[in-house]
Amino acid sequence: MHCPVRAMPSLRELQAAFVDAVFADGEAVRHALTPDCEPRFEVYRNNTFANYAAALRAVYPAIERLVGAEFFAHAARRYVRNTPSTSGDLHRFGADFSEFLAALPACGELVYLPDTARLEWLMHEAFHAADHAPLDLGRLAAVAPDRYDALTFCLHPACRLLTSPYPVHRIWQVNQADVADTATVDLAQGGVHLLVARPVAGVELDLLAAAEFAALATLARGETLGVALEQAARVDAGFDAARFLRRRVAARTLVDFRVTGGVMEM
Amino acid sequence: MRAATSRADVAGPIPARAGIGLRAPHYRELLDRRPDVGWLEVHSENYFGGGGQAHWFLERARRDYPLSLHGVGLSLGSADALSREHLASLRTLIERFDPGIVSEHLSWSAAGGRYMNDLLPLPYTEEALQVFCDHVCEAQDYLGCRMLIENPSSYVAWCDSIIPEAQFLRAVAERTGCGILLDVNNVFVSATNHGFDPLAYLAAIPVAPVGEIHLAGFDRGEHCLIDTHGKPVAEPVWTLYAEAMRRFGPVPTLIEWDTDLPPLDVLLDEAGRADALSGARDAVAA
Repeated sequence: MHCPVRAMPSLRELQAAFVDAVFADGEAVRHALTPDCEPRFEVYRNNTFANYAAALRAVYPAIERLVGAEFFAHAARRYVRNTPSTSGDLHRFGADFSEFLAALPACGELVYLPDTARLEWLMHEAFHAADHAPLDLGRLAAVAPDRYDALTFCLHPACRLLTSPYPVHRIWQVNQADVADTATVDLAQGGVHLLVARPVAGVELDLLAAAEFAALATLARGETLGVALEQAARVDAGFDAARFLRRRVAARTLVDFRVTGGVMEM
Repeated sequence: MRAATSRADVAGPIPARAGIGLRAPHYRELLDRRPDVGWLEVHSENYFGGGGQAHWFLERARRDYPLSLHGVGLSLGSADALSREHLASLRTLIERFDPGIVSEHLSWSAAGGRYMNDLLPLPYTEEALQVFCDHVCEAQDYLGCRMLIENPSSYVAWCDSIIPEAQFLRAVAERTGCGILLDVNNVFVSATNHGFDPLAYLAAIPVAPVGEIHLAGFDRGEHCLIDTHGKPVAEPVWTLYAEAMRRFGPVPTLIEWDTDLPPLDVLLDEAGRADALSGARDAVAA
């Protein structure tokens, strides 16, 4: 090989130089690679950016449609450069794309963009999340009524909660590939409380009342049913707790429970 | 993997005939048609999420087809420590799907905690050999199974490389007890890019450890061949495969296709051609 004479760098140094060369400065790696392949290093640079951009496009199709393919490609390139992937599982890449978009001056007028991106990430997580058997209502019925307030519940692993001052579910819907470009959303219709879930096969969006959202968000934090119902009643004095439980068990939102201070009931 | 032949709810071990890489757009058609193909291979990381549609389809496909789990993200060649989280996800997947083969690459993809999610070339040095072998042993111990390690395609070479790739791979197999996944397309791509003799490469690979062969298509870049998995297997690669069959005998052979995925029938036709070349088709018919 035709290489300059030098002390042999460690594997760690060579790999660090290679990564630097993909994202920023190729000087160190140039001396470590055989000269004949210098123009070919570009293949790795291109592959890397293309792979990550494709991963982002797969997770954020509505964002791409909102900002246009050209701007999305530009934003993706900057994001890829600034945001190291931290996992060998490519599906984990892009989690904080919404924060990145929020900080882009060019996106300032699209105030709903970060929350729409958050929604797409939560849908991506829900798509891949673990399965869980539904909760057996008979088991719940066997709990003494005076223990209800002390119950804590597990949400299905695919459930995600999102609240936004913008109607992001509508924004997401009209930015699907099969919807005409002319569809519009009235931002004045206000904010939403959303449950992202995968009750059977596909990911679904469930628009929740504020009180129901408060109850689920409280349960999702591991608080007891008693605390969750208090939170819901603060939002809506007429909140129907029994109906809430029945509906959320039937919809496979709540999939397990335990009596606090006691052992897990199986 | 340990119980590959004993579980009644899944198809048996991987036969010495052609299989195809199963990708999400083909899930439904595969289950509807149940085509006569020897086995299936999936990318392990696509199932790390633990549930949902991908798992639903794979569980059903697994009942009728032997399965191989092919990893792309373990980064066995990194100076960084192996990710225990990644290994744990892989072990969970192995327990769930009982694969006949578990494989990874002779490559690296992370440095200082920053992942590239690509299969990057190693400097073939004594240090890299030691690191790679340590990681293969650690992974095999943790997973409780033997792995197959695949030769990469590459576009650049390190000045410090002193061990020819085939010898490096041979040493890994000898020191760790792992098997070899011989990617014939990668041999062709790298041989063209780096100017070595692909037949000499095959001759330097020991016969016994080779447990699987990969075939895929490449693209022609401006300065080199690029391993895109987006084309039919090229004619010279078929020729090289026929040579490989003479040396290694019928071996489970995978048709890999990842970009510009064609209709399922195209993959099945390629698999049929591999079976015809390896003699597996005659063996199946008889």
